[in-house]
Amino acid sequence: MSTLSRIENDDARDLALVKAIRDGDTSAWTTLLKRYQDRLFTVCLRMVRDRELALDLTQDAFVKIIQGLDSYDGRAKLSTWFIRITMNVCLSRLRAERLRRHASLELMSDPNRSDGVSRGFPQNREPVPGSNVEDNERRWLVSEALSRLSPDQRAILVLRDSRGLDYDQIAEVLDVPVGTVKSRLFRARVALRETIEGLHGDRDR
Amino acid sequence: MKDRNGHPARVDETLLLGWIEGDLTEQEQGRVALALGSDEGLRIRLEAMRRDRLALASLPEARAPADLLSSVADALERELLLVSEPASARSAWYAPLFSDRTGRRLAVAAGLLLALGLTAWLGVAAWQSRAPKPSPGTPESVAKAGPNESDSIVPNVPVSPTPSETDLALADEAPTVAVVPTTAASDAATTPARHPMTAERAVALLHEGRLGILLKTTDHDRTLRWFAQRDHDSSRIAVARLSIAAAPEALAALVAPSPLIAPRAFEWAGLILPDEPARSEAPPIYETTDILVLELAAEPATLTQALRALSGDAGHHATFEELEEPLHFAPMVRADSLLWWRQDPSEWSPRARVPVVIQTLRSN
Repeated sequence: MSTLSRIENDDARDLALVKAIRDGDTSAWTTLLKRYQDRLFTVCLRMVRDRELALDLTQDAFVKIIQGLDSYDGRAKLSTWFIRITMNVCLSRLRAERLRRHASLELMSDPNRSDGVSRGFPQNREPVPGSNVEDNERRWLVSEALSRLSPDQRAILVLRDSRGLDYDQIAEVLDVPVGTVKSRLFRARVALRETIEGLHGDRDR
Repeated sequence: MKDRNGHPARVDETLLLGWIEGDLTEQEQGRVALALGSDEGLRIRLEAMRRDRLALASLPEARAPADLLSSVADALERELLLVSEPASARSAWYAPLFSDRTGRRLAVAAGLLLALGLTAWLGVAAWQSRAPKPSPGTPESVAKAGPNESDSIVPNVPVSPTPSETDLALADEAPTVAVVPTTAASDAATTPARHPMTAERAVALLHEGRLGILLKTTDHDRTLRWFAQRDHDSSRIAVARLSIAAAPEALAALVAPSPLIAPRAFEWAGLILPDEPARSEAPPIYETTDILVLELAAEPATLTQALRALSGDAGHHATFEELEEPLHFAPMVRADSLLWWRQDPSEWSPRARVPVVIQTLRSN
């Protein structure tokens, strides 16, 4: 089965589940949420890099999805709508956290923070498995650097690279024009590169 | 960076991004290659950014914890539970009356007086209902009817359970709460009759968080199906569920099992006295099977229509109840509430939440 037809099948299945839920089949909820739990948890984990906090955010997102499903009008793909809600939950939490702490970029990377928003406790940190040492190193670096970017930059990179959304879908999730998506994405890539180079510098010292 | 003609190569962010992501046309690729050919530093950087992208994309998908869905269910319930004041601060105003013997006696005496007053009032009401009515068109009848009697959704008018065409499309397939046989006459005869609460009063209580709805049914499954359909096919009403075990204290009076109160025994006009039940027969009992929370517009018309719809065509099954203590449910956050600026302004009207305690006839 081609990727395209698999995606189309996925979309059709999503819509069938939504219809079943609206028809009163509550078991369809479990099926639908199970289909998305790993994807949405991964989005949250990439955003906060802390399993406990990611679990908390995924839970919040699911609650909002459940409570808001009747407002889903089918204009966007269900997966995009789910990711939009999840990303909004993550960004709201991260922005509130920044406001609360008057956080600067330096504070965001403060290793003493206990909320896991930036570095997190080692036991909660996302493991970065890989096939060899070099891959592991690269993944660790990119993951670490990602966690040091601003929430908005992190969001756009997660949507593009981790979830594979196209520009139009990202624009829909973030509610900005496509041109803005491209511009922000490029700047986020530059920021990521600079952060990685900074991390290299720290390690070489 | 210059092109073949010696002019500066025009490469913007979008082109560089396209190069990193590999989605440039041939012509665009040529332009970027030209620019990179004359700027080694930029080329190295872009190559590194391309590798960053691949590394980010290759991070494996995480597996959600096994208990995620059950924690979601818990969170949904917590969302609905109120942020209540401490129990000590919520004690009812009349609590001190019962704290000593004299107080208890006073309270009992007051209760008796109240019951006597109600009985007397009922007698007057019954007499008035049997008195000859003025002919239509006479000044007296016009004065009684008021300017708009046909419009029954008027604050200050006792809520009528009669189904109406103006219902929020809620009335179809209303839960069957069949008129229960009047076997519990002793309960009915000894329970003081009450006025139906007015819509205006209900709205006032709703704003205070002290409104509840008690719904008695004989068909539990059908009732729940009815609610599920209302929840999904209309944006004007939202339904959520509370577990009985976690029911807030303020609902205790509604949640407790109650003896059958035969609706016909309380018809206002007729004051029908039911037959005496067989003494050996245990009175039917309604027990709480579900607690739902409805979210709807806090206005008399909506409340009136909701109560009518809940009552269906079988009489007095759903009643407004006054809670002794305020109960504030968290708003049912919808996805759109996160995106409120995209909502239609008509959706910005305040909504309120009212608990519906569903009692089902216990089968013997």
